[in-house]
Amino acid sequence: MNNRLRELRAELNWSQADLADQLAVSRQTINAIETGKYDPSLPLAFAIAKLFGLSIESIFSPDE
Amino acid sequence: MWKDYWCAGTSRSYWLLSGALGVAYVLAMMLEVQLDASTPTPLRVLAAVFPALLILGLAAVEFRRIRNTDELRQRMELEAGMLALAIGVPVLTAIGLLNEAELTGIPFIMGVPILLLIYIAAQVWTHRRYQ
Repeated sequence: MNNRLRELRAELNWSQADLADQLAVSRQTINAIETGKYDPSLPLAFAIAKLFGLSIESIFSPDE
Repeated sequence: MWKDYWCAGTSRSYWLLSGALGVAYVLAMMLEVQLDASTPTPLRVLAAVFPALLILGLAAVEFRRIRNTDELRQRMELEAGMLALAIGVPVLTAIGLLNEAELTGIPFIMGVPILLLIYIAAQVWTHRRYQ
């Protein structure tokens, strides 16, 4: 799955640690999502979407 | 980063409890190897069963720690646990059978430390996989 997490985080000048704190996950989780090594659970995807004020599908998209 | 990884989900009570159970396990093992046929049977039974209870306690403490971690860490722990089981059980079986055939003389009490080492190695592997 592809995602725009790194891009959205950069727009707000947040570090991975900042984002991790707001989502109550580890920095490693944010890094793994950004690098595509880990796909978040649905609750975490919803939390990410809510934090950025976007829909899930505008952040995450399936592999072509 | 490694500190974050190894300390994830831990608390002061986790370290105190797991430390106390670990020390108790080592002491129980030291007592176990001192016993012989002249030791009263109830004491030998107690010495044989007690370490198993300590291992159950350690497993419960570890289970609680894992439940306090985030979803990626839980996945990593699951992968590490399954990997440790997949490698550890054949290794311990082979050691047991080699001992049975009198080709090796690895003490039975080394089983838990061997399994623990395999589990730690599996954790390092899963950690690197998601880095």
